Amino acid sequence: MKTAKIILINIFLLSSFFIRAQEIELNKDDFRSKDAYKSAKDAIKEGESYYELGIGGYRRALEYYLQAYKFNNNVPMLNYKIGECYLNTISKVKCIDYYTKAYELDPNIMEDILYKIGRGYHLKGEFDKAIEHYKKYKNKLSPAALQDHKKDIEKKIEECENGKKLVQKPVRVFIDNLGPNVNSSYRDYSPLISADESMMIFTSRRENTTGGGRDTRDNLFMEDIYVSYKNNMGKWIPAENMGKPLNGSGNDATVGLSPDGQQLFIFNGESGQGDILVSELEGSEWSKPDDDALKKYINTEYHESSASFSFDGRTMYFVSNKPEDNLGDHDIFVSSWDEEKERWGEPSNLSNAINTEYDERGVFMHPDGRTIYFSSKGHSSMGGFDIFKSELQDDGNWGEPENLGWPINTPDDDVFFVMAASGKHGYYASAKEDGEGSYDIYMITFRGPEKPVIQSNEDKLLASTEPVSEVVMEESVEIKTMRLTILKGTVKDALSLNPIEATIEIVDNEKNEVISVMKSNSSTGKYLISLPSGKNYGIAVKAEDYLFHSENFNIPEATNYQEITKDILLNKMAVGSKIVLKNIFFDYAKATLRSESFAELDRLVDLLSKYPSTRIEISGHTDNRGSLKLNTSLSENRAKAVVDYLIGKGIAEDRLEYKGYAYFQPIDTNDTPEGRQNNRRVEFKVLSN
Amino acid sequence: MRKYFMIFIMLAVAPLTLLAQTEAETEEDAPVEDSTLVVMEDQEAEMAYNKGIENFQKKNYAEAIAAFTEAIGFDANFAKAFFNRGAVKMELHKYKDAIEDFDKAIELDDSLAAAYYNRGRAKHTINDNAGALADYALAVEKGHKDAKVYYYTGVIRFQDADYQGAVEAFDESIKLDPKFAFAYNDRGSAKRKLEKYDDAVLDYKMALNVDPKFEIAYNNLGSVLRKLEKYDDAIDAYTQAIKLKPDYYMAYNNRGSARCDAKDYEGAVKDFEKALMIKSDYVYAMNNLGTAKMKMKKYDEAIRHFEKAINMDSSYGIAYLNRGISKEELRDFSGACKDWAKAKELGVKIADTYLQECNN
Repeated sequence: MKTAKIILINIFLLSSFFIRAQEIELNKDDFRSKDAYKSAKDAIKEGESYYELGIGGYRRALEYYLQAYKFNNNVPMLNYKIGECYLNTISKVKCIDYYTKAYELDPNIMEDILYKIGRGYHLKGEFDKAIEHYKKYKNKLSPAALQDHKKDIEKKIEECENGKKLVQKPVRVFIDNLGPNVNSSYRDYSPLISADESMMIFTSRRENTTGGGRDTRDNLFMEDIYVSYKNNMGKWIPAENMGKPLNGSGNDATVGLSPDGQQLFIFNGESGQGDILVSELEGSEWSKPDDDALKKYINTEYHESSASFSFDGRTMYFVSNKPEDNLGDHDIFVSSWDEEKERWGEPSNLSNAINTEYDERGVFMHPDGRTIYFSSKGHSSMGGFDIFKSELQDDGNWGEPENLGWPINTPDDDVFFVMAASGKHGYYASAKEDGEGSYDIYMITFRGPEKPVIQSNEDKLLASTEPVSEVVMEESVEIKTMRLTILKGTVKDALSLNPIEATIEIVDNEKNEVISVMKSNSSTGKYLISLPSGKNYGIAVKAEDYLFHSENFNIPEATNYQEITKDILLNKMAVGSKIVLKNIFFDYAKATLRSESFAELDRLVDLLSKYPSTRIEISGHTDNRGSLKLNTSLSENRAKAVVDYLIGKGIAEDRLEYKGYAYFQPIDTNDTPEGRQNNRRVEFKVLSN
Repeated sequence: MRKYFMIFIMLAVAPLTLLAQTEAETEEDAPVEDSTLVVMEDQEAEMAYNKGIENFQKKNYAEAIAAFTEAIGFDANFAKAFFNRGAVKMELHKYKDAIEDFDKAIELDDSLAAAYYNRGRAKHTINDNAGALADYALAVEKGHKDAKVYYYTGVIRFQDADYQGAVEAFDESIKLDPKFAFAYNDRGSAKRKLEKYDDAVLDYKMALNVDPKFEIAYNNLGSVLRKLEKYDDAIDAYTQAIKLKPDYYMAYNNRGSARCDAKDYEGAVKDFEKALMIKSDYVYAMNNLGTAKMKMKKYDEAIRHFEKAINMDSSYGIAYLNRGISKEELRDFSGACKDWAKAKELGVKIADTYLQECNN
């Protein structure tokens, strides 16, 4: 069975070339007693049987090898193989001592021994020593072997050089284990986070896995998908197995989550070399994962692994090693949602600025719509996969990828990174000494550049007068925050307060263009929308038999990250029901409709076309500044302008009434600019059905 | 704001001009000598005037004023008596009264160049820089062309942030008195403000050439060397200043900062502590001690120092800003944000930038 484990094995596996090690030979005379020799021999025999299984057997092989080691620690091949086992477990750097001893005992123990010592130092972050061993190894190779390994050795040396530079300038982060409510003593990894960090879905190989099975290759429990939610105190509550249909008896692994947490990409290793499936949250239930919308273009006979949605759900980024349009190994591809055919369209290679001849994995598109995070063995990696980010430039090209830096990236593989919408927190899995066990999920808090401290000094600049003080400050820093607004809340019936599954349309008012359409959750009414700064957004919330609700968010380019909670109540199409049309804009102090209003007006036309017997009143309202006469005529003329537009679009004149109420029906205070803004409005009221 | 101590050294630099006794008036500051040497039958006014000068020389200022007043009583048009009474009043820090006397002296004799200079000094002392500058110009116009009048012209221009103008005035002052150490020092400071640091170094060194015991110039030399990122040289210069003036807390504080620049945080801590031993309420050293501890990653200790600095001066926004940064290091984000908000309220502009992070 090909399973999601393929990703993990591929990713956690060290990139190296394998030279088959010989069997460990013991010499009876080297042991202090017959019993010692026998015990060592038995342990070696057991160890060798696991070692033969390859990477999956190394952990068990190590246990036996270490037993034998107690009886005689001077067996060169035993030292070498213990080094091999460590190099392929979490405690990788422990390999150094054993490889080194093997080399001391027999410099010709294996052709790659110097390379392996180099790997150990490389992983430990002792880059100079690593380079020294890589170079020694290179110098010892025969011309033919050099031909085969030159590129790899040079790449490793380059990684060490990158590492030296990156370690010199550590990024300022706090890295925190998410604790026992999320992490277990087993492997926990591939965290996915909702944009507002209220929900985390991740993969775990803990003991209560669905079906209780273990993967035969490493004897670890099968992967299952788990979820945890943040409580009101900001703490993660104990993670729960998400159960069927997401989890089956095989390996089920998380891959990507839409920013609103309503759609989940998961990995299925049972078809092709591995495909991506989608599940949707319908009310409180996740749908059975399928690849109906991905079959045509996304999933191939090759290995499709990671995937991520764009903020509007209309673009997906995914990883594949399919040969077409590929720069080497796995690359990141991009595909757009085909509205008409209801499937993901033909993908293209994301960019040669991002993909390299090496491996790219673990793609994550930030909800700001302009920052992509991914892991790569190319670019300026300091070893294995490093996490990079790239920003979409104004000209539509991707900027040069930037290494997220040390200590986020290490000489080992760093993958499965996701970033909260705020840009303040990132999440990833890492194997650290202080963890709950093997791979754990960690939260990275990004602290931005170091904040300079300020000193105060004074001098007597003028000898004849009092001292002059001078503030001495280190270089100033630029604080970058995400330019993004997260709008979230619930949609409910205004009377019963029951949650409603409503369609939420996000419109670019200036272009009069629907940017995306999403749904609120039917069982909770919850919704979450990501609005990158720089647009005038119209939000229309629609549901069958309800009047639509409109909101306007004009978010200038320079607006920093913010979260807005807006609970929306929808009114039924009943006589007397009314709505404020928030996306109708007039020229200042005039009754001339601006073009940004057309999307909202067209929604009104649709509604009236759908309910042909409904009669409505359009009313204009002002704030209390200015004379009553002026406000009366302005409010009336504005209402009339709306009615005229509707008539122009074919709505019968006798279904429409208009009235100007001036400032007599305020819905907010007139004492603040915001209040007055709310009072200046156009309303729609149902007169008869 | 904290009060700066004031070193009143006007006398050391430029003794107030007091017109000499009538018989011996030969100084160029006393252009009135010929006209006042008129021998009158009744010389009571002159006698009182001379008595005033005697008393002034003995530092019997009250008696000197009484004598000059007596002289004026005998001769209401006695310009020099008004002038000298004004000069004595300046000694007693009665600047406004002194200005009235100089006004009267000038009214009686508008060629009395020294009166313009002295009135300029009085106005300068009470921070009427424009008035002082006008008087210094008039003094020069009337013939009082000495190094001091140009020097003080330079000082006012410096205080008014006209650094180029200040340099020009100090140039004139130095031309008239090439041994005028203060003028070299202050010209160095004006050049420092013009960011001509290498030129400033030369001027401070000239000042020290003229007066090797001029600790102020050593301190300033150290500070400009810091700007040139010559931290070791800066430390040496501050050390010289401290040798000349062992209680020079300002130089200890500055040397501490130079040591921070040179990443010698242990040394910096010692200097800031020494500055605080000399002047226990020296808020700058307390703040800087906190910053050195931060560099040593001793954030708890740093916070305690910033707290002490805030207790010394609750309007000292920088200590709030720094305490906020320390708190952030200790992951007390809400505490950090509160401190940055307070720093912003107290006018520390960069706090606003940090506060952006608090919104996330």
